[in-house]
Amino acid sequence: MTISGFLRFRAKVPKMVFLPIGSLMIWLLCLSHSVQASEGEQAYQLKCMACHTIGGGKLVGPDLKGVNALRDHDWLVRWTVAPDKMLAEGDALAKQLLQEYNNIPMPNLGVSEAEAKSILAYIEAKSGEVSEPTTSPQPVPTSSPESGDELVTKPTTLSKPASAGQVKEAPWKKPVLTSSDDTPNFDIGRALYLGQRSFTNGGTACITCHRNTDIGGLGGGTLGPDLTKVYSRYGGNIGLTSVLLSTPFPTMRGVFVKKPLLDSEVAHLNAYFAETVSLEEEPVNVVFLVIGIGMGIAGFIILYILMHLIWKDRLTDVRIALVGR
Amino acid sequence: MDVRAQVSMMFHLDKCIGCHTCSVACKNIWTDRQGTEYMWWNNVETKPGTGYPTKWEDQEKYKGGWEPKEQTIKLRATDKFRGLANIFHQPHLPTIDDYYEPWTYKYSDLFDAPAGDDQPTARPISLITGENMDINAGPNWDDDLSGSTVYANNDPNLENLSDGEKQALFEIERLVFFYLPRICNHCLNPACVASCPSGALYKRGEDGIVLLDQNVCRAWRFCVSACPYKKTYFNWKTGKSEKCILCFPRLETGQPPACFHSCVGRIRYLGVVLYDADKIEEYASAPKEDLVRLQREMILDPSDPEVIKQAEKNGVHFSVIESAKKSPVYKFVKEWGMALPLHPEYRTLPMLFYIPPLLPVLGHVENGVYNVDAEGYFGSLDKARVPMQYLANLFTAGNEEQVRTVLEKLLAVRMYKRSEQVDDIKPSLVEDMLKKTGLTPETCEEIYRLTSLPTFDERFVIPPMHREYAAELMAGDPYLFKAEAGVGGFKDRPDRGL
Ligand code: SF4
Ligand code: SF4
Repeated sequence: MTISGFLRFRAKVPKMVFLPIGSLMIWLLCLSHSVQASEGEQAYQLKCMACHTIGGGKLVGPDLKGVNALRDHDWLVRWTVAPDKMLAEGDALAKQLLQEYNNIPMPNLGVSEAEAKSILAYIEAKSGEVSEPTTSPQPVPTSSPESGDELVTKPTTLSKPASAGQVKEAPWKKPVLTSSDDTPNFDIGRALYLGQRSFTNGGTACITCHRNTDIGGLGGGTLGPDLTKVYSRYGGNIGLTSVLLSTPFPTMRGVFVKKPLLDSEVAHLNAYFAETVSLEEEPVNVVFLVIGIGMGIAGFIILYILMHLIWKDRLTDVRIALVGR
Repeated sequence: MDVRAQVSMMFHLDKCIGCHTCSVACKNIWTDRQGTEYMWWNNVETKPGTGYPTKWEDQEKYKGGWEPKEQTIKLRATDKFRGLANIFHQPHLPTIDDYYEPWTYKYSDLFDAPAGDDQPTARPISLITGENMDINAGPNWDDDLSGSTVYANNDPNLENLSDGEKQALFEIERLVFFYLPRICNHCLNPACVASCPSGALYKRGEDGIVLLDQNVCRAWRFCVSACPYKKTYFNWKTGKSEKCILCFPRLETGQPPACFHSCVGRIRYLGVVLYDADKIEEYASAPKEDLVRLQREMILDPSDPEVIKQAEKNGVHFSVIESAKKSPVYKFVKEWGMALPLHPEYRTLPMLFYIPPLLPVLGHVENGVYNVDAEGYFGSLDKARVPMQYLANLFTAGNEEQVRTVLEKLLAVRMYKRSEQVDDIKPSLVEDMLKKTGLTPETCEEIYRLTSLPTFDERFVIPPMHREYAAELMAGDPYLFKAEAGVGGFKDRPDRGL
C-alpha cells in the first residue's frame, strides 16, 4: 500500500494524533530531565571546568577542592557572580589571587546568584566525596602539571595526541602545517572557525556547535555557548590558549581528545576571537529561527506537491480505494 | 512474407464451469514456492467483476499495453527516457494489496488448543509476514458475483453501457455472470518483452512461447507494468519476475499444459498456427475497429503452397506445418471466424482466443416448449442478459457487430442441431439462419463435433517441438544438454532465494 493510501484508508485518527503528541511529550521529558539532572554540576562543567579542578591540581585558576571551607561563603558567591567588579573595586583577596595566577583575571561568566550557589554546593559535595577526581573528567590529558605556569609556558606537550595513558594512539597524523602559516592570522582563524579550512588533526570546526555575532543569524550550532566574547571571558590569549589546547569541557573532550588542535591553529583562532570581542553578543534571533524553520516546512510542502505533480499518474491503490478500508 | 509458427490457444467460454481446477493444477506445478504464493499464472475470473489483480483492465491506472502514436504504437508504461528516469522506482507497479495478501492457516491450533467448550479454530496467517492477519481479499474474491455491489459494479467493461443496461445486469431475476479463465496470451507483439530494460524476456522462435530468463532478469519489473493482462509477476523471494511458460517442458514431451490437461469443462484447445510476422507492426497500429479482423488476416492458411514454401524457407519444420493443418485453433479462429482475442485494443496481438458465451438467452415457454427464438432468427440475442456491448468491450474493442456475428454462428449451429435431433424447428428457419451466417450443414456438424465431442487428441494438437534442432542451432552439439536439468536451464543454482 502506498503512504497516501495508508493515510486515507487505514490510518486511525487516534493513532495519528497520539503518535506525534506522544513522541513530543517524550522528547520534552528528556529535555527537562537533563536540565534538572544537577544544575550545579552542569553550570560547573559549562563555566568553571575550563580553568579549575576539584582536587585535580591548579590549572589556569586554583584547585577548588575545599574552597567552601577556605573562603567566606558570601565572598565566594559575590566573586563567582562578578569577579570583574570586585577586581575593579580593589578587593584585597581578589588582587592577591590575580597576582598569584599570573595576572590572568577571572572573567565574568554571567553566573547568576542562584547558579553560583548551586555551583558552590556542587563543589562542596564533590570536595567531600573524593580525594582524587576520578569521576570528573580529567582536565588535562598528561600528568597534571604542577602549576598554571607550566601549562602556559609549555603548551606544546599538550598538543601531542599520543600522551601517555589517556590517549591510546593517534591512528593517522597529517604532516604539520608549513611555517608560513604560523603567524597568527585573523583570516585563517576565521576560516578554521567556519570550517572552510580543516584542523590538521581532523577536529570539528567551531561553528558546528557554537555561534557568534560575526557570523550571526543561524550561522552556527547552539550546543555550546556563544563565542563572540570568549577571548575576554577566558582572560585573553593565555587563558584561551590553555582552554583550546586542553578542551576540558566534557562535550569538547569527546571530540578533541583524539584530534587535538595544533599550537598554530590555536594561535589563529585566538587572533580571530581577539577581534570578535569588540562585537556585542546577540541572543539567537528568534524571528530568523522561525523563518528558517518555516522555510523548511514550506520547502517540504512544495517538494511534496511537486512530487505528486510529477508522478501524478502513478499507480496508486486500486483495490483499497474500491473497498475503502 | 515472414512466416512463423505460434502455439496458439482457444477457450470456449460457454463450457467453462468456473471450477478453478486449472488454476490449482498450475499452482501445484509452478507457483507453490515461497515468493510466488500470490501468483496465479492461470486464474479464473467472474464477469462482470474486477478480476485479479483488482481492475486490471483499467489501463488508465495500470498503464499496460500499447497506445497508438502517429503511424505506429508505443508502450503506455515506459519508453527509453522514462525507463531510465524511473528505473529505480517505477511508478506503475501494482502493490500486493491490488493482488491480495496470500495466507495459510495455523493448523496446529486445531490440535494444540486446550480442551474447552468451543471448537478450536485455525487462525489465518500471512504467507509473507508470517503474522496473524485478517483476510480481506483473494485471487477470486468476487467469484460468482460475491460483493458485486463493489466489484462487479466497478468492472471497467461496463463502460459505454447505458444506465438501463447496467441496471438490468444487476436485477435479481436477470442476474447473470460467466467465467473468464486467463493465462498469458503469448502475444505476437508482447508488451512485456518490449519493456524489459535487461532483455530478459523473449519470444521463442520455434513456437512463439514468451519466456522470462531468470538469469538475465534484474528485477526492474517493467514487464509487470507493461503487460496489460498483468500476467507477469514479481517473485519477492528470488527478486526475479516470473510468468506463465505454457508448460513448455510438457509441450516438448507431447503433453498439453497442465491447465489444459486438467480442465474439467474441456473448454481448452491448443494447436499451432502460422502467421505473417512482417505484418505485426502495421496491424498492431491499425484503428481499433479493425484489430480483430486484421489479426485474423495475419494468420495464414497452412495448406496454401506459397505459405508452406515461405515457412520452410524460414526453418519451420514440415511436421509443424502438418500439425498446423489439424490445429483446432486455426479452425475456430480463422476458418469459422468464431473465436476472438481478449481486449485486442491493448494491441499486443494476444494469441489466446475466446468463444464468447452465448448463454443465457432470455427464453420463454410457449405451448409447453421452452423457446428462445420467437421473434425472428436472432431476435433473442438482443434479449440476452449480457448486453452485446459488454461482450464487445471484452473481445472486440467495442465493435458490437463482430461479437454479434460470432453469437449468430453459435446460435445457428445450435438451431441446426436442434432441428436435426428434436425436430421442433422449421427447416426453412434453419436454412435462413445458415444462409445469413454463411455456414453449411457440414461445417455446422464439424463445429458441433469439435465443440461437444472432441477427443483429447482433437483438442490438443501439439506440434513436434524439435528441441534437437533448436539445441543444434544454439549449441551445435545436441548431446550437450543431455542429462541436464531441463526446466529453466540453470547450470548453477540462482544466486538468491529458491
Ligand atoms: S499476455 Fe503474456 S506475452 Fe502478452 S504481454 Fe502479457 S506476459 Fe507478455
Ligand atoms: S478447469 Fe476448465 S472449466 Fe474449470 S475453471 Fe478452469 S477453464 Fe473453467
